[in-house]
Amino acid sequence: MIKDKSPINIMLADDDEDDRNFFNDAIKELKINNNLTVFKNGRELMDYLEHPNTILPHILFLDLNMPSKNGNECLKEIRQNSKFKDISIAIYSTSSAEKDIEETFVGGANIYIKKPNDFTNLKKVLKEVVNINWQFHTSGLNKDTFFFSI
Amino acid sequence: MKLKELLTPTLVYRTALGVSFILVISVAIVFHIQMKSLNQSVDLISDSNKKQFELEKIITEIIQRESGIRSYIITKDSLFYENNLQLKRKLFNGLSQLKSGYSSSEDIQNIENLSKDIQKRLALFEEVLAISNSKRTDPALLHAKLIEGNMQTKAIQQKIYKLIDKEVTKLKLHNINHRYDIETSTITAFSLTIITLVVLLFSLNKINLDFVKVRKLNEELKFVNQVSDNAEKVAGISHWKINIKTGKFFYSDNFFRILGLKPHAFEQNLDNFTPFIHPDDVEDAVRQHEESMRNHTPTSMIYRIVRQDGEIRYINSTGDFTHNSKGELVKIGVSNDITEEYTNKLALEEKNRTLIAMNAELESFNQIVSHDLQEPLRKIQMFISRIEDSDFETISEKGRDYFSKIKNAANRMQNLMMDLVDYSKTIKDDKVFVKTNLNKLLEDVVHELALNIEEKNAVIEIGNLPKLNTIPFQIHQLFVNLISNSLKYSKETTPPIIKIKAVKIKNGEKINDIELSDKKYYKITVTDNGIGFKQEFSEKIFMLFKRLETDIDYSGTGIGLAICKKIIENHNGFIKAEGKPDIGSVFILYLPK
Repeated sequence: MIKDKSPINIMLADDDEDDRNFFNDAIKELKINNNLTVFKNGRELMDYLEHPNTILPHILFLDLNMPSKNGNECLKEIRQNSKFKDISIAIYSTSSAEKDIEETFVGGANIYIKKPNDFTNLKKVLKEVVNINWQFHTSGLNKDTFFFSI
Repeated sequence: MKLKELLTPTLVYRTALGVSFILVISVAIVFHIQMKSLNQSVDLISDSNKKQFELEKIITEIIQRESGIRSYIITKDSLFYENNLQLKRKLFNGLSQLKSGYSSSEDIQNIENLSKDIQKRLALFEEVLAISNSKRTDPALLHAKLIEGNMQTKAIQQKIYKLIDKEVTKLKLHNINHRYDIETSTITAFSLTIITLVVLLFSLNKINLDFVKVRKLNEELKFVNQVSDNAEKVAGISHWKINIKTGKFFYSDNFFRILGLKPHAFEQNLDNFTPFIHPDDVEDAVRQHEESMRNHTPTSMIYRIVRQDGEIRYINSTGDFTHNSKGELVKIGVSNDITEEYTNKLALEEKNRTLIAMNAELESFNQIVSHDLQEPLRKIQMFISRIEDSDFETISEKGRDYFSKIKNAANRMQNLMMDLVDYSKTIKDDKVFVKTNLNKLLEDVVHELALNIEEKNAVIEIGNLPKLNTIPFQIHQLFVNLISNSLKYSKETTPPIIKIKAVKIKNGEKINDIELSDKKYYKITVTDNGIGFKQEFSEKIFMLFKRLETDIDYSGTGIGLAICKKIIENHNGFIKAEGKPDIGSVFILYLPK
């Protein structure tokens, strides 16, 4: 699918500038045909998504801990709106707390990624996640497959 | 049972009293009858004696007359010849008296016959007298008449004797009967008196026994009251009663003592008591009490009282309604001095609040360690990896050396933080026990550590392990830590062999002076062939952040085994370690069944 000429639309909402840069660098180095849009917080993201002219992303990477509308709130709003039903949501957080994983799983996220400590790992993770067959992944989704590990 | 019922005090007294009464009346009746019969006997005897006397008088008169006439015939002296008429009157007077004395027709007939005979005899006297007084006395005729007269007199005498005999016999017979009656009635009266005495003595004895018993019970009751008063004193409790019908109050001695007073220091009623209740509590307490008195509902309240010296005590008072032995409605209750418990409870609640706050702080500390502290660290690591990837070649050799030290330190810090989070997880109180198959759990553990195991070329041997109640994620953590520990402290030259198995507990096996047995515990050993340790460190290795000197070459946080100890404690089990340097170590777990 990704090998098609049409670019894959990726969005990232993360309040940490360094993390946004790492993410950007990693995606660039992966040499995937993509359109990456980055947001500094949840409100920016939601405002953009709800704009009628917006081209909706294939995958949305969502940090949890953000000022003005956090990841969980965004997840909730997106999953309540049928317009966004085709967006795959990957939680992208430093936390690996049981509580956060449980909450986002129930909230309707598709995958949970703990931010890696190593740039090589980050590239690996992004490559895998971007290439996931979401239809297949979602049909067999459970708590074990929800938490992503390489 | 029946006898026992009869022997109940009131019945015994009543029965004894009734029986005695009847017996005394019987005795009186017997005596009355006896007296009456005695009277009758006296009458009978005097009557009979009178008859005998009359009869004897008659015969004596006749014999006297006869001999008088004879003397007169011989002497012709009128001295021997008394007035015939007077004699006749005397005789018939006596006869008629005799006749009235008899009642049976036979006796009356006898008397009439006697009377006829006497008349005949008197006529013969006249005849003899006439013959002897005539001018020419025929001696033969006189003689014949005299003989005849004598015969007649003898016949009369015979008859009279017969009558006398009859009276005597009658008296004798009566005497025998009378004696018998007297004897019988005396015996009866005597026995009745004896019985009465026995009955009275018996009941007296019974009364005495009962009295002794009552006195004993009374003493016991006094003792019990004393005991209960002492018990109330010691326990700081008291009791009270309110009779709804009479409106009478009763407060036990200790009620007054709780108020800081001597027993019965004031007249027992509500108005005298309420001034002792704390001004802030009095309104509510009195309202509750009055409501309960109206609706006859139980009360339960805590209020404060203020003693005369100003000391404040907390009182827990509960009351309910019941009926006393007279069937009157009574409110009874217990008032306990709970000052110590209450203040302890308040202190405990305060401590609890602090504890909860501290727990929350710990939780937020956890959050800080697991998220906020990791974020900058992760970034450091990320930048390190960025530099490594792109600019490593341009750094000087010394710089590269420093750089790898920075990297190691950052990694170690990350491990430390992760272990700390794990450790704090074992302290939290959400402990849910689930029946767990240890073999299955260890499969997961081995799977999780597969990379590490492969890297070290290690062999893990797992025996048959039991199923037991555990907090699964903690026991999982326990085995991850133990196996990781064995892998970490393996000898570089020898591939590690780690054996996990259930072992029988030996007789008399002890830990911390607690006797262990197969009935209560599972014993599981984790044995390795690693570098081991000196036995003297067997306690130290479980302490937080404690690392042995041999650890210098090994990267450890000093938390892993402390977590193991914590987990085993959470399961009410025991863990110990045995080590021999260069041979290996054994970790022994005792988990309750």
